[in-house]
Amino acid sequence: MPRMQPEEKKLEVEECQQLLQLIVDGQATPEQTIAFQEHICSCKKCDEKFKLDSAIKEAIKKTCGCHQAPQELVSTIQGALQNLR
Amino acid sequence: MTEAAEVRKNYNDVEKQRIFDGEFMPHVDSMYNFAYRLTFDEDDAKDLVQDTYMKAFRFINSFQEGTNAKAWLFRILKNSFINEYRKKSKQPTKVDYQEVETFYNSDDVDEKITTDLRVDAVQDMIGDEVSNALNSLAVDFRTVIILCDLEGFTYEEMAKILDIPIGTVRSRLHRARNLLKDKLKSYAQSMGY
Repeated sequence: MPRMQPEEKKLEVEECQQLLQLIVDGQATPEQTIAFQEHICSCKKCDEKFKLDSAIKEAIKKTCGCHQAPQELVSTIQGALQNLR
Repeated sequence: MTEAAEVRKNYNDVEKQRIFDGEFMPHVDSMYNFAYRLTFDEDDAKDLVQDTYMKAFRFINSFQEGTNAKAWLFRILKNSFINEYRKKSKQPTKVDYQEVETFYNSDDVDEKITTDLRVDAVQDMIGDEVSNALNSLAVDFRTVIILCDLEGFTYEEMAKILDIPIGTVRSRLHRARNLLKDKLKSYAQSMGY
């Protein structure tokens, strides 16, 4: 494992904003994740944004996936498929 | 990256049925939820999903087994919506991106929304607040949040579904979330936060 130089640990707030989206969406690399975690230890503003964005994402998952396909839709599709053949 | 998707298959009837039942039909609930959140109408959503499945079957030889069936289906549904349903939808569908981007790209706005909205307020929104806020967004902003937060697509998959570059996916998502926060902030204020 290469040792990080002190200047590499520092993450500018602006850079962190871009990283935040990747982290919240689970698309950051392990290195980006470590850099972000180190940054939010000392940056309250980014830490709060991270918590808020994560909470909103979680709330969307919990409350916006409620429209299940009606039962008859599946049989309608299968019936239409027979006619297509 | 090879363009494997360009290679057309020639599935026999048994293989077509297996792919349709095994890889396409398991996504019917996600497809319906997406269609409903695009059209806000149960009948339109059913028609859109049925139409998508019929197209999927018709063009099944363009689908590579083992690739992401859900992303492939969502792309067909999105295109069907744009080409057929968006025209007749009563919802305002076009958004003046320039106007929205000019306003919401401002760091001041971002700052204000973030500092005014609290995590505990969002966590207390257990009713229709979040869903209503999502529904109130213009369709292009609504779509990226559904694809990313609800369906868990990667930026790369979203770029393919929407036919836009990954950079545009990320910036549109960022703006969509700022707009959503703005709506949620209003709800939070009405809840006494």
